[in-house]
Amino acid sequence: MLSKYKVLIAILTVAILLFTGVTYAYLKDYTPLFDNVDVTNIPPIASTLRSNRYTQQDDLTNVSNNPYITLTDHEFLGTDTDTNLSLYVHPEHLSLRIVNESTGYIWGSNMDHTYLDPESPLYNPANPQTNIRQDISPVSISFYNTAQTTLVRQTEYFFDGAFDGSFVRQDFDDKVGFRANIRMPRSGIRFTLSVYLDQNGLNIEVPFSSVQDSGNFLISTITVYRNFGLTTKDLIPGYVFIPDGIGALIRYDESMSKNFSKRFYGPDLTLNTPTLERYLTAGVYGTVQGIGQNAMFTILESGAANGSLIYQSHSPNVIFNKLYATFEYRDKYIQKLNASGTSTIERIQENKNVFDIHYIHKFLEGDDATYVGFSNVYREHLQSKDMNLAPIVQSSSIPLNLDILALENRRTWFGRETFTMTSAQMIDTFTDTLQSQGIEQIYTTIHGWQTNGLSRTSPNYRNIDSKFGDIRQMEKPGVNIFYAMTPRFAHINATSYRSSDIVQNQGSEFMSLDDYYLLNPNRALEILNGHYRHLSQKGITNLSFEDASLIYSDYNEIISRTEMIPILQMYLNVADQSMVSAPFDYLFGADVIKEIELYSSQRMIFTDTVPFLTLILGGHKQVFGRSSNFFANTQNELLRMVDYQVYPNFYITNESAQKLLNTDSNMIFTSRFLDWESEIIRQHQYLNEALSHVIGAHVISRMVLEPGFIKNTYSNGVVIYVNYSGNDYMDGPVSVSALSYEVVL
Amino acid sequence: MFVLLSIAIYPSSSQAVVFKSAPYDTYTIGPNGDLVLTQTAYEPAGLLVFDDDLNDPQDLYIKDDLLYVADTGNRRIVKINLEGDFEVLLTNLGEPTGVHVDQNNQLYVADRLYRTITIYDETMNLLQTISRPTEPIFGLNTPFVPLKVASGPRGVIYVTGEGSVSGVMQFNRHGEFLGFLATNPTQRSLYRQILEFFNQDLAPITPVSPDNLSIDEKGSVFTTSRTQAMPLKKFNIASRIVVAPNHYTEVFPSAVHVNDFGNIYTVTESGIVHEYDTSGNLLFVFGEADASTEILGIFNRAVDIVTDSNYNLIVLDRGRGQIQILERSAFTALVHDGLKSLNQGIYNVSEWENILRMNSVFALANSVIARTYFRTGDYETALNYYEIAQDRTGYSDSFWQVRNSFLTAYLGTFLAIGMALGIVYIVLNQIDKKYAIYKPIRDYNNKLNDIKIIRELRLGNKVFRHPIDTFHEIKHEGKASVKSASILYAVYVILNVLAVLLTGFLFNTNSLESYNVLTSFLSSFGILMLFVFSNYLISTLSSGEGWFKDVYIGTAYALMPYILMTVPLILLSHAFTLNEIFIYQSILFIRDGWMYLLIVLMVLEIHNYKFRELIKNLLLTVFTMVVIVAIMLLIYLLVNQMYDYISSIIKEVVNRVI
Repeated sequence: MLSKYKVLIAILTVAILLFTGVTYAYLKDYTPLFDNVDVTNIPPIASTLRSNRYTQQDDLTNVSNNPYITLTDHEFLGTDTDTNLSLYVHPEHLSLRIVNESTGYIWGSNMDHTYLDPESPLYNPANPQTNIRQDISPVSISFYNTAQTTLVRQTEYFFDGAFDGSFVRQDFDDKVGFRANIRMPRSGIRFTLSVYLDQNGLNIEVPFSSVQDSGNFLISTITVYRNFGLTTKDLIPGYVFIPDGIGALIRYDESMSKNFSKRFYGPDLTLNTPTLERYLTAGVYGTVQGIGQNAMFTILESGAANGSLIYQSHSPNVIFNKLYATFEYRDKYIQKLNASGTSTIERIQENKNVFDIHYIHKFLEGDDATYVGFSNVYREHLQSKDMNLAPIVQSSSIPLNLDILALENRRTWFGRETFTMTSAQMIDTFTDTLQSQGIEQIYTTIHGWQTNGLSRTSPNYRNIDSKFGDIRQMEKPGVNIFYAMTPRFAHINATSYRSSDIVQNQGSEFMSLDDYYLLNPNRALEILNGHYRHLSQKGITNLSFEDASLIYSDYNEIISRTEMIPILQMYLNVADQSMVSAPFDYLFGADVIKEIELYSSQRMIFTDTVPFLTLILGGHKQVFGRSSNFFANTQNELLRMVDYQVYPNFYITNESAQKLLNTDSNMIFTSRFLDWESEIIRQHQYLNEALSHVIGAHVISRMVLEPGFIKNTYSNGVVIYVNYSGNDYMDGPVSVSALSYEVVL
Repeated sequence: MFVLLSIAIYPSSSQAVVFKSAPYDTYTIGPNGDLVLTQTAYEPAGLLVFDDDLNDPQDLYIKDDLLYVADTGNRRIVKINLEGDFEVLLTNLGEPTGVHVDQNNQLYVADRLYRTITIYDETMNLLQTISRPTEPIFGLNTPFVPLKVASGPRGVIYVTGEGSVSGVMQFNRHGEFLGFLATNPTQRSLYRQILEFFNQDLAPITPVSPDNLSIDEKGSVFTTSRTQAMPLKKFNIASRIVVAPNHYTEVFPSAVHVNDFGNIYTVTESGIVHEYDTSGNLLFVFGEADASTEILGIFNRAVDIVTDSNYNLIVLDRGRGQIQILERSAFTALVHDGLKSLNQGIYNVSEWENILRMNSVFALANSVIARTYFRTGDYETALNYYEIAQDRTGYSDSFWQVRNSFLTAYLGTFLAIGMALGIVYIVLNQIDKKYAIYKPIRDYNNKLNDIKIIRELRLGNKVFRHPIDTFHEIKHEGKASVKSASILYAVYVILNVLAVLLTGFLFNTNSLESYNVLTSFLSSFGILMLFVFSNYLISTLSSGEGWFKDVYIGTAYALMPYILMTVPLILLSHAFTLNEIFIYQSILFIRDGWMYLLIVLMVLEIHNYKFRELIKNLLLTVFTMVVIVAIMLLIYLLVNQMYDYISSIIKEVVNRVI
């Protein structure tokens, strides 16, 4: 009989052979590649330069007034001495007139209807009839009538058919303006409308506390002064500004029926499915009537997160172009009655979304009456609210950001295995190499540093994975290290959260994106604070939030999207320094911004893409673009970064991206530092030669001299020409070759 | 057929990285044949702006950067240059659905309403009208409703038509019907084949008629059809399918176009664009199926696609009456340059390595680099790249070369060593006869035989030469035990797993990353036990003489061919090329066949059956296995439902009450 020893040895031998054989099968490696990345340069075709992918040339025709708006029948309420604006109101239907006393230009919340009079010089028999009572309505709402069997949203104007709403108006004593208690004609829904001038401009408010339903009639949406800033066809040269992606314009022209509607800050995931289209990134919009002459720039001080921006151009039925916001308090939703969702009922949201409506309309003239002016005005506004937007300290060169993937995990026969893509030591080597090549200031944003690597671990950020190595190796002057995280995402198999932390929609379902739950931001912040206390003891002081561009409501612990904004801003105070990825305007207070939007959604009705976001941030924030690894047209993208004052960003690993094929990071298709090293240095140098001259400065003028030929003038007097086209251009003595830039000091 | 994926803008994998400068993702083929992300291949470059409106346009043709549009709703043909200069060429047509211009600048129009093909010269004088053919080969009942028209070398005219199930119609330059080609193949299901075997009268299967077509410079015909299998096909002049590229979306392609260096483009009505190389390998697929949003780069109803002289794409949107331009990116230009070099027989490694650096998982780049290294004689490097590209044919060719070099260098040495070892063996044997030098080994061997388990395991050798006797000894003389049988089962299952993991690349089509060892382990052992159990069950009911223990042990010993031949097979898989696949597959066949034969003999001997009883027992055993699996599946589903129910109650309680 074989002794037990020998049986044990036999079993061990088999086990070792088996383990070795199986593990060998998974450890086969790919031969790494060497040498440099070459890029080729192809200029855009003429059609592209004239498309809405770029900014077009301006029509600088002089505009003295909007003939469809006069002061007739309007009462003078007063002039604000800070802004030099005068406010007029119609006593019977509360329509407004604002006179910019500096220029004499009159803005109106609705049009005069004298143009319909055959005696009027504006009369045109081809003009369609209009619903005058709707036009003069200061407000319109939509509501649900719960007494009806089918839940249909109905629209109601203040002057609705044969019915008139009522209001009680009381003028303010201490400021120019009034308060009106509004009662809608059919539904009886009430709310208070406040209109007044102050140093910010014209304020229009509807406080949440004043909005009252009426019996079976439940408020759904409110729209205030929908015709404010109207123009007529293409009579007045100018455009509307839409904060779509990086920024977009719709110029007034003869083409009809160009309609646009989009929710601010992206869809609410508890209501809508995600979309691949770029979002409205800021709670602002504007209209320019006479470029460089008159503009109305609207800031949604509150309520944007629950609002949508709507543009309606002139059409065969309407001769006016209108741009306005509408705000949603309530919507209907589908309530599932069983787990499979085959049985459902439609219900109306019981409680209103909590937010105040607060517009600030700024009336601008001269150089401020352009999208560049809008950006400067908005920056000043954000600064006045103590947002961290101080001018950048001067330095000799621009920084570089490296998004670095440290650890990932993949499936193996024995479960999941965490493997190293880049260790701390390698990161140190990378930064040494780059600094020796003249890149003095480097930001490194490390992904997957936490236990078990990048994927399927959020929100467990308590510990650094030991495979990463000693983080102190990376510390050196000029290198600023950030640790990336997505604290509001919770993988279904991860730890550190409870099911009560998960956001629910109105139907009480847990909200998730793929295999990640969305966490309540308060709960997520508590978890983050707990982890950060631990991490800071290990030397982690800077955090990068990769989930910044996500805002949703919660119907578990009821929070509206508007209420979520101040909570999200608190994340920026957790660590010493914070970085955000692709943020909306409310997170511009972060210390560093990366993955800034560089395009608009290019809706067909847009005529231009304009760099509104980067104009706000230029000179006042370190702003990095998207990872250059993924550029398809490198030279074009580099010129865009020069044009927009955006710094370079690369996604880097030590190992080849082929190793990520069977992981959740399989969308990274090129990242090896060895392959990209020389290109990183080249691109940084290329951008540095332009942008190092304007560190701390911002654009005060942006002119399109020819399609694809841009002239940016900075606050420190430097001028940078950018030529996207395949033609050489001259501006005076300055010659700019195709596909290049020129800096004039 | 894969289905195109869309990656949401939210970081579902905790990555907030922006990959695209367009409203759609662009994919290419990665190493495992799956779609992988890549740089944006074509970016939206705006609408072609012109001073008129198109109404329901259905066809587009480009020649010398001039676009010819079948403006169907307006019953006319128009010409537009890339600056937007608009010219109406023909009006008052019936329902022009197809337009084409040949190398002599003659214009062809397919008119669906009037059922004609009309041909015009450069000044729009009517030259010829082709109506329904009267030739007998066309057929009496064949419909002639022309939709699209093209012409090829030697003036041959190709026409697709509604209901033209026989394929593309061919006419000569005089308008005489020549015949059909590019007929779509039909597929008969297994059920239908069985019915046909029993001479059932069935309705004939008619193939789907081709929708759209394109002709390349060599006269090959490309068609798109509404078929699940091969919706895009390239036919040679003998009407044989030479290329049938994979289609990566569920919507059928509505048009096909071939550029001057042979790249093939298709577009679907949902706006998904595919680009392939001349061999039908996918280069890029991109687009977004969202008809409601009016965004540049996204289409309402894309019906045609062409390329201009700069290889930018021009797409006709029938739904909006628009023509959109998609500009080729610099990255795509790199790929095109590489392909053009390849077509000219120039294998430039650096071009493709550059592409590979910009996208490490671009399978075509790996494949081309592999081919290049092969041609330059660097077979070792070529092996590596072929493996990444999953190109087994190339890998085999390279491996043959490597092996050949190795054998050339070392075969003599091995032979010499082998001969020397042989001589030593013979000499030692002779010495042993005289001096018994092997006696300690023989004694040890005999001592091992005294150990019961070793003796039982050695019985496995006998099963090859005397299977019946072996099973007889197992049943009647107890020469094997449950322990030895269990060891054999364990070895079988382990070898089963190792065979998947360690078989050489050429003969291993398993995907290691998705292979679950534990599941495989359990299922292979499970099937064996299921057989043992079912066989014993049936034989108990049908007068079988074997006990459960006998069946258990007998089945284990019947696995001996697998146990003994798998390891050599694994080793051979690393030494053979595809030239020797016949040998490899033969050994595989012998191994498995022998194993099944031994199982049959085992049943025969253990249960002492006659031949008829044996057949009946085996069939019933298989049936029983199926029934047991079905019952277990049912139980699993019920248990799963119960688990879901209980766990959801617990979750509700935890969330709402606690």
